[in-house]
Amino acid sequence: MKIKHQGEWKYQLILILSVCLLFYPLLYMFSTSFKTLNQIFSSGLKLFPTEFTLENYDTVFKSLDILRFLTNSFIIAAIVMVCKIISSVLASYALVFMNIKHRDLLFNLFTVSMFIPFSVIMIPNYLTLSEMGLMNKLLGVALPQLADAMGIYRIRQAMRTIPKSLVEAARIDNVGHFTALRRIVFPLVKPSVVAMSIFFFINSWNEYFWPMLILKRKEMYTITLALQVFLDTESGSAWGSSMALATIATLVPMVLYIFAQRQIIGTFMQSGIKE
Amino acid sequence: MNTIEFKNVYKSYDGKHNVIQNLNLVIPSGQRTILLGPSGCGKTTILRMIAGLEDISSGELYMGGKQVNQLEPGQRNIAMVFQNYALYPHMTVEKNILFGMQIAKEPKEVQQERLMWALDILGLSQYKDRYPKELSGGQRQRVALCRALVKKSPYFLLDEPLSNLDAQLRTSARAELVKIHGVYSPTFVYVTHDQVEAMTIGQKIVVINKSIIQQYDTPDNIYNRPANVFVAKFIGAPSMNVCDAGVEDGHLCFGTARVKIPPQWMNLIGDRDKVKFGLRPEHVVFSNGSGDVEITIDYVENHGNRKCICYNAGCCQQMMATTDVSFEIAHTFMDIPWDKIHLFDNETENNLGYPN
Repeated sequence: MKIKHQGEWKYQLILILSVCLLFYPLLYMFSTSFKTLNQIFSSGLKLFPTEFTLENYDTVFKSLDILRFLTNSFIIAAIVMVCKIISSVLASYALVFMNIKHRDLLFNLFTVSMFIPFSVIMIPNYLTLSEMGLMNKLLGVALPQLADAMGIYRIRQAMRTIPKSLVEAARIDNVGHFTALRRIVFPLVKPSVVAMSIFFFINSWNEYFWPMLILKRKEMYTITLALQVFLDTESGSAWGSSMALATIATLVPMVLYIFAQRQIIGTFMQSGIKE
Repeated sequence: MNTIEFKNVYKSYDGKHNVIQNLNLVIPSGQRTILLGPSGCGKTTILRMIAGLEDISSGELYMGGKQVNQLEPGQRNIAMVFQNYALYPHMTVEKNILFGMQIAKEPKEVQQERLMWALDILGLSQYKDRYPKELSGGQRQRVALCRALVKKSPYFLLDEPLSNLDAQLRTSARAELVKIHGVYSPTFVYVTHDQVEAMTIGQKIVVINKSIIQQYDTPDNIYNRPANVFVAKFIGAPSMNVCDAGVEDGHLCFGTARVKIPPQWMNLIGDRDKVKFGLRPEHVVFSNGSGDVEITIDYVENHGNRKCICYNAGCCQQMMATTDVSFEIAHTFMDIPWDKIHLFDNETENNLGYPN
């Protein structure tokens, strides 16, 4: 016999409502991409199209070089992901396993940097990159994002669960710090590193505002920037095509998340519990 | 040879308070030396300084006659067993044991030969493909020993390696450790707070309290001739009875009870009017009807193989005696066995010595 948990249904109801609330825009985007223009304006908030069409996707593929935008997004997201992971893993190892002077102060500075709003650093970054001649370059989008305090925080938390004696035992065996990181520590925090990699990739993929500032030439657009092509205040926006493109843009992060959801949830749930 | 020598060593973590103060110690080559003391006394810090895992704030540390203050842990040629065993959880037993030799780039045949040799000594051959999580506590501890053993280092450091084992396993593991030492007689430095481990494993024991060495001697001397009250009470279970006693006209006074002091003891007492009197529980002699000091028995614990008697003798604090199971509560007196007692200075608490 199962134990009856009284009143559990109330919490389940709240959960279901929250999920519906979060998923509605996504489903609306998805269904709108299969609607005709008339239906989009006449069906209100109705989810399912009465008349199913692939015309919007046809327009997107015919009018835009989708592959190019996808490649641009991929290059930026891959550079950002790889660099953020390398910097986060190295910094976390040093913070946890090396006797660095003012270690706590350094960690606090990293943490504080998480609270600086993007709008504050946006203009200095823009001016610096402009001086460096990186406008309209993919590297210009990636460069300010190569290190991440959130990554250091999360991976440090994961490394703190590893007993220090493991690294000490390795050092007694004449193992240098890089080898200890590669052979002892990294395999033990791999799930967290995978989760953070995907998190970084998705974040960079979904970035809209910063690439918009840096990339002006259409052929350099990322997939998210390409969305604005269909939004035109003068001749009217092509909502159906816009939603079709948005659906395509969403597919990559969705697929990645599905593959790594267990690690991602695990990483964000652990929140610094030390064994 | 492979001696370890501390010369005027200090260790401080914050630059203000010393956790190790003016440590001067020579650990002899090829022997089993135990660093024994209560938690927080600095014994693990001493071991970690030998391993190079802690810097030395000032002073010199020599290993095999060579100063090693500046050497990295990997350059000191040591093997170490950690309290939590520090086995790599993502490697099998075999890979855990081979790891150090792979780093040292030992030839593959040598690696395999030593692996089999060590697994055989510790009876782990059938577990070599298992991961640490698939082993019991005792097996993990043996893997940690194996990993240290294959290095054949001249220095073998152990940081409370038995503290996570249950009582029964601990007894067998003690014998195993002595056996391992016998394999190639490295300089064995073993940290523990367990006096039974110290007595059974050690050839020499360093008793430490509050970062200061209290006594450095053989287990027999530590037990039978403790240097001070701390050592006397720390070693032995139940611990030694130590109580205040007055000295008047050649008599030892426990409250109203007066016992004549033999002349050879009087020479050691000198002109002191107070001493601390020590007597191990197993040396207490009870008598019926008449005796040196009248006692009142508070309660008796039956341990099956012996009895522990809690009693009061005159003014003294509660005392403990161990007797055989035939003990009867009717006893009302205690005799002083002068060949078994210990006297300590009342202020310094140092042992006054023993008559020849």
